[in-house]
Amino acid sequence: MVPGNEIPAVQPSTLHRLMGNVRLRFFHKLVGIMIIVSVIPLLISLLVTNFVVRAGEVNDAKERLAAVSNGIGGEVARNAATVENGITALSNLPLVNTRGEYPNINQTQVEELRRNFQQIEEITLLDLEGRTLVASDNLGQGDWISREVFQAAAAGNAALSQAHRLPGRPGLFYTQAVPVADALGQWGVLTVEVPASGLTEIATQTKLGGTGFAFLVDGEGRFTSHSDPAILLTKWEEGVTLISQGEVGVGWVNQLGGEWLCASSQVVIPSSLAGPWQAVSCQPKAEILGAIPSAQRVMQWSILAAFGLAVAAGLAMSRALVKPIRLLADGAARVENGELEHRVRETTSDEISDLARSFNSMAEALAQKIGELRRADVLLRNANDELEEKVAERTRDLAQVNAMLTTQITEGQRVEEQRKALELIALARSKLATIGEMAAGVAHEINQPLTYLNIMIESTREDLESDSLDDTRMLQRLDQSHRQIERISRILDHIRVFGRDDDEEMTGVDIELILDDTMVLLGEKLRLRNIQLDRVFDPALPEVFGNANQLEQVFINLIQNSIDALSDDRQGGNITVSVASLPGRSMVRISVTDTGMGIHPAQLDQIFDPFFTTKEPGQGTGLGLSIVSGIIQAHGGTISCESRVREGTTVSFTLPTTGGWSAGSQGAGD
Amino acid sequence: MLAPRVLVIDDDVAIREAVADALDREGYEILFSSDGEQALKIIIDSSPDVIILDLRMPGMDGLEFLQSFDPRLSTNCPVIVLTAYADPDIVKACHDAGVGSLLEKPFRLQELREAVRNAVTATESAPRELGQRIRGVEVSRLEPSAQDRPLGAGAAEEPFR
Repeated sequence: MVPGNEIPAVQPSTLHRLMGNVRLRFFHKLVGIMIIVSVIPLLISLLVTNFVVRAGEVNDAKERLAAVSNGIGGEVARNAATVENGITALSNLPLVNTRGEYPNINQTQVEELRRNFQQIEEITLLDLEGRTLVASDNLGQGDWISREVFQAAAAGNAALSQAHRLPGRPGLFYTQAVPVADALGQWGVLTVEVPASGLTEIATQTKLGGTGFAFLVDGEGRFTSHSDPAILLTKWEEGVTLISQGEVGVGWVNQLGGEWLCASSQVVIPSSLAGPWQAVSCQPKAEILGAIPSAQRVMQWSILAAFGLAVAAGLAMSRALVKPIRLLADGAARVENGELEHRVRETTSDEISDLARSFNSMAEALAQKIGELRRADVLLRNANDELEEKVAERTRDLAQVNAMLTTQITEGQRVEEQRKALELIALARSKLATIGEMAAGVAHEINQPLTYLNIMIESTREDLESDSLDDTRMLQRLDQSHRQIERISRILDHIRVFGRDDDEEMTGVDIELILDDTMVLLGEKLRLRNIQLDRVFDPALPEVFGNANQLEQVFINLIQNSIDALSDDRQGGNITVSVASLPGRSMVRISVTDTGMGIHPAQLDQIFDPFFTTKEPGQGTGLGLSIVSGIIQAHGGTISCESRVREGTTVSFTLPTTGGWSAGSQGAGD
Repeated sequence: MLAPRVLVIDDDVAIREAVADALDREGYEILFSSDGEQALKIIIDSSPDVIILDLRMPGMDGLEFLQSFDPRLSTNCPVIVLTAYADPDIVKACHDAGVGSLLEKPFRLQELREAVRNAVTATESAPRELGQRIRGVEVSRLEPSAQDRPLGAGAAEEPFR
């Protein structure tokens, strides 16, 4: 079971609180999706529309202004042409009288010109040298006529000067000069001062919507017609780029603290010496763009409204979608808290309701299972209680038994200690008994050489005293004495070795030799009792691994037992000691068999028990066989006893050989 | 007169040598045997006058040997028994078997000599008929038989020890 992951706490935002306690992430996602799906296209179209409309407006404005400028330009050109034509016409009038005098420009004609061209000032007639021939007013002698203009006209070309001022008169003026000629050729120049207003009036009079205006600039970019007379003849710096575009120029100009859309149109005045004039009409950006038709406004507002609707709809729908999920989550929480009967309503008919259905059936199954578990739990508790009772009972019983056992064990331990103490005593006694028996045997044995030595010494003395000592004889005697003394030594060695306590060293021993030593001790007894001891040894017996002393004790004990078993019948009897090597040569089996009175079957089991004896009280310690058994076992062998009453007894035991001794190998066979 | 024939029955060379040494200059003809069976044959063949018998012997030991004599017939051949330990049982057994005298080992020179002398004296007055007395064995008489001499009559002076 994977431990539940903690849902990280979400910081409740205003939206969260507004929307109630729903899973914000999912809700956000839903709303976001809806908004994105519905609103983005709207926004895009809104933006696009805006730009398109703007662009369109700007284009319209551009065209409009260009047209205006064109119109103005055309008008101005026409005006200039008219002026030129007028003056030329005037120059064609005969200006020389019949007498050949120049001043034939009469007032009437001047009036006529004035009528045609309002405010024409200063008509002046000059000769080709530039001498004023006739001047209409009293402005002077034509000082205002620029040299260039004069020279151009004098060369035969009509010329229009740059705009300039006239002393004492407001506004700007242009000098229009035309050549004067008669049948004999050009003889003079006629100039007229044309007020700019007459030419360029149209510009300032043109009304453009709002704060738009038009003006003229001359070939050098100086204002020649402007609603604001103060800036006349100043250069239109801002519009330099525009003007330089050529015949027609349209563009945005930064002037007067804002952005103006301006269109310029060249005014072609052929006779202008100042270069081509430009008619310019301007309109501020704000006015151009501000003129968004209401239809478009409506569209924008409706788009915004749609956006709002989409958001609202999105929120509502998201909420509706999330609600069943929330119900499901709440339901799960409630079931988790233990309300196993709680079920979730299937409010929709989609995957969520499928989930709700599954949830419900799961809750049902859960409820059932928990019910079962609870029942099982109750049973378990009952069983547990019973068990505890039983355990308590048993514990009490066991405690009692334990107490009993403890007492018994303590008893047993005491008994054991006593037994051990007794065993030690008996062991010592047994050893003493053995030693006792041994003493008899030893005595018998030592007797023999002593007998010889005794006789030998007496004989020798006799011979010495009777002076009949035979050297050869003596030497023989001495040799034999030596041998007999050796014999005694050996016996004493034997005793010494035998008497040694705690000798538990294991070595290789020859069973035959051990038996020989035993016979030294017990032989006399056997003879006295007329008991025949036979040896049945396997040929080539392996060496036995053991302690010679202890094994001798074994033989002494067993043979002594056999002697005792045979002691009742004075007919003698038989003891057979057989030694055989077991297959594998790792063990030998030794048997001591007698033809004595035997052991009752009921007593056979106890035969090796300590303190068990079949003899009369005081006759034996009962430890012999238990000691023998102990020795055999310590050697790693096994011991057993067979017997038939009145027929005899056989005690067999196994011993390891030096070839076959290894840790853990117990006697094979019985 | 032939030198008295003494048969020494003992398996231990020490005893045989000791007896030989002790009786060396007594003028006896000494025969040795190491076991009872061989001794019986020698008795049959050689009819010794005195038998010196060691009870301590393997095989047919001393008492067995004695019992092969017919107890009803007292032997003309006195037996001197050598034993390491003359306990009452031994003494009784020997007496029942008709042993003439009993010497305890280690015995002294003079003891043995006297015992043999006495035995020889007893025999001299009786023919050698020992061969007859041996149960189940045919012997040829070498000398006419003399009257029966109850055991211990001549050696009565020799107390059992």
